[in-house]
Amino acid sequence: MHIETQAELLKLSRLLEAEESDLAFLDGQNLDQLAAFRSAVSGFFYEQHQDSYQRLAGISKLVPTGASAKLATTVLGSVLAAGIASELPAERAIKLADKLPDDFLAKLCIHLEPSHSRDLLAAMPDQVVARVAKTLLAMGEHITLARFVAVIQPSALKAVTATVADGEAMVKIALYLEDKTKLDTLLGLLSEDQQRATLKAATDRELWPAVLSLNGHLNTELRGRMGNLVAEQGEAVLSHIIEVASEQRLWTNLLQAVNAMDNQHQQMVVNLAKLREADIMDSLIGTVAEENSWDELLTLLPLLDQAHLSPAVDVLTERRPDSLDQALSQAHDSHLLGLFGHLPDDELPRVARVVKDKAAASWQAFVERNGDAHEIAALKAQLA
Amino acid sequence: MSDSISTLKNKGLPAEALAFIESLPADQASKLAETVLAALETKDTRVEKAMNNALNVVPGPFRRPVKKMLFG
Repeated sequence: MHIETQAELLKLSRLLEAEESDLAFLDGQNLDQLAAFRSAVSGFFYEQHQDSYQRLAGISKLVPTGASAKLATTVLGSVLAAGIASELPAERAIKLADKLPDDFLAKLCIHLEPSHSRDLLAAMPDQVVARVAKTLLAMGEHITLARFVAVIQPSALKAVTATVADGEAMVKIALYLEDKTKLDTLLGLLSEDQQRATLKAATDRELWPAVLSLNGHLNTELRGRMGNLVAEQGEAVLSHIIEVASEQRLWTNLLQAVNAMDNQHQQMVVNLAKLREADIMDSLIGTVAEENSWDELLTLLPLLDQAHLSPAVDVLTERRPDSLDQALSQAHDSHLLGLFGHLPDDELPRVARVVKDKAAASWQAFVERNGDAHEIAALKAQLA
Repeated sequence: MSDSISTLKNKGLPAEALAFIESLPADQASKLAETVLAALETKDTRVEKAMNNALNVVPGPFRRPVKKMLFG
């Protein structure tokens, strides 16, 4: 199961108070639709009891905050208190929060309905947020923390991230973020040590599928920074990442990471021995063809040494000869020129054969656009 | 349409959530609707219990007006 589907089904199972395995039949559904379904059901559950929450909030306003806090912890419990808090004016809820013990407040936060508690969370003072976040972190409540990240003030987020030393927690919070556009802000706040901790956790805790998947949501600068740190992990780790990309079809994400690395790291990564394995190269090119991420791949192919280029040409000409036609019609011309210009003379005959048999029309169109390019002179001669 | 889906529709489950359930194969749609319904019942019970607990701690003379405030 894709890691982001796993995360979504975990969130849904929590909402529905069901076992994750009971919802496994939803694997394969569109992720955005699943998230929209969960959000609609969450709002529906809340609205079923909103009248009760409003009545209790009305009573709560009549008694001193100290008494309300006592009532919440001894009688109402965290679930009901979460509903009531969402119906109180933010100012009153903040005063109440100050009287509640941290562990109760943390449990209350777990049960807040996201769309009805957004304003309340945004209004919470930084020190309360940081206190609660610390407790949630100790409880392993990464899903709740991810919800916090989306709505708390930037200053509160900074205070929270400064205290997180646990790389596994950082990866999981990032994975559970509803709005992945917040990922740049979150990762941008991490120190280099914290960023390294996330990568160490990825190796120690088998979290590379999550890290690779999240990489696709990062801006180019952060992707490059993280990519360079990844490249420094050593051959064993990098080979493992390649296996993960192959198993989870996360090649496009990995290619994006490699493209964002500096040149020296790119050179090292694309020439790892693992990439010479026929099945790995087949999986890579198969995924690229499926996801039309030719440009991400073709920019890197000229960096391959002969020993690595050969398995790539094997796949393009023997295992998946149709893919060359797709590349010719969909990739950027400059990237294709880079590939053709890098082909050694002894590979030209088999490439020419496949071009002739499987991609004659797209090759013709490509040549018409790039007739003078020296990179294709040898292949043109071969085809003549 | 299964009983669970009809019940959810009657209870006001938003149209987009219903549409998602109904887009699934029949057996999966029923299963998901039953799971949503079971969760709703659990939450109903929990809220009702907490409301009654709250009422029980109210001193006798105030119980009737508070009950009216809570349950209408």
